[in-house]
Amino acid sequence: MRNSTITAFLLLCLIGTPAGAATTPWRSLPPVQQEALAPLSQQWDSLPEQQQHRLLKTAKRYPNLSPEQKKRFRDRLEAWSKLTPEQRNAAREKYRAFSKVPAEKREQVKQMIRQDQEVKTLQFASGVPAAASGRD
Amino acid sequence: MNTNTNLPNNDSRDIAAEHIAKLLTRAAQRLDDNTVAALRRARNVALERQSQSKPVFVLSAGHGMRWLMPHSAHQWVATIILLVAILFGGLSYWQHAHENALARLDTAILIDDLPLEVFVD
Amino acid sequence: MLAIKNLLPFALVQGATELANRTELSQFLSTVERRAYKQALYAVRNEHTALDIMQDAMIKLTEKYGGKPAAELPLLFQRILQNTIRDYYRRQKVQNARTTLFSSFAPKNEDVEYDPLDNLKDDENQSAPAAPDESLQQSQVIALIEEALGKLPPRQREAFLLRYWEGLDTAETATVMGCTEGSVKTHCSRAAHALAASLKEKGVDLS
Repeated sequence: MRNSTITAFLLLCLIGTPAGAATTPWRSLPPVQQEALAPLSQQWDSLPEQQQHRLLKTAKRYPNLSPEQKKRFRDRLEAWSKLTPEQRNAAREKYRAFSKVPAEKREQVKQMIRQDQEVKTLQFASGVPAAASGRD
Repeated sequence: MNTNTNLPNNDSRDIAAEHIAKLLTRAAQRLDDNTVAALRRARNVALERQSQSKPVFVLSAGHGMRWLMPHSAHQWVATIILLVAILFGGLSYWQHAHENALARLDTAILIDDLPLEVFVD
Repeated sequence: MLAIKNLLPFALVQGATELANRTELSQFLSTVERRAYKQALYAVRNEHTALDIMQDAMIKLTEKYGGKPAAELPLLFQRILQNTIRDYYRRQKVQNARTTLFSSFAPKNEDVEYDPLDNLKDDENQSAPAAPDESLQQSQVIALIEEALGKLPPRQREAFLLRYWEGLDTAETATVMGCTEGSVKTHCSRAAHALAASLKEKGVDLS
């Protein structure tokens, strides 16, 4: 009898801790977290508990970031939260794989990607399709 | 260690006792074959039982550690509970660590100098 | 990781000691089993029951104390054996009580519990003292001794056999029997006295 009570208690403790409580309302978040997650203030209360939990953890390092990093963080947060879990997982895999590439090569790739991005933005801004924009 | 000195003719009785003991030993040596065989069978059964219970002790019992082993059903239950608790503890710790690693990765992706689209298909 | 790595050699060493223990146990039992069987037989006076008691005692020893060092085995085994015999007595007593209860309507000739000492006295009264006969065969003497032993009260027999036959000292006997050294001495001297008297009647003088 006593043993089963103890078991139940232990199991409750152990299962209870990591799962945490239900969703956290936006208003109850501390100001630091509100600042980090500001782009999501509208939809926050409707996000599933697990995603809230993950986002709060992601925002934990926010106060330590440089202003530039903070800006990127906030700019990308909404797009990030709109991805499906599978997309997010794929992105993580890609990032992990990329960070394993030797620094020198990684720099080269980055350079290429940046140029490509610049071209795209320019095309987008001028409204000229890629095929038509001759490189001269 | 014969110290019953409070009794008279103690010595002669001790001699008698010794004599009796000698004769009893002789009697024990003269057991009939059936009894000897039955005793051997009993011994083997007992030794068999020991090797059956052996695997339980193999991993966690030494002469100095035998007290660590559960001896009763009660203690077994307690041990199992403890093991389950440790398992759950380990599992939740692992989950915690895993989540933290993911969150760190997410932050890194969000603040990387490469745009998000590079990593998202 | 570290723990698991360390466990493997530990388990191997452990397996080896268990094996050593098994041969030790086997040797120990083979040297004591005949005398132990006889002890049980004197106590219960039935070969099957005595063998059952031996089986129980041996299993208890190997299952519970298989890992004990060899030096501790003799005393441990004696304790187990005597406890098993006592358990048998206890069960017997319950059974007797039940039979007495059911037969309580029958006319009672002897409503007292069986007392070996009474028997001794009866023998004293009934049989005429046998003339001393030096030519008695050893086996006959042994039979007489065994008979006399069987008639001793259980505690006296236990004390006598442990002390004089198994060669335990007073303290060890007291431990095995779960009583004081004083009562061991009393039991022993009474047993020796009763045995000597009983044998003397049959014409056997061992002193």
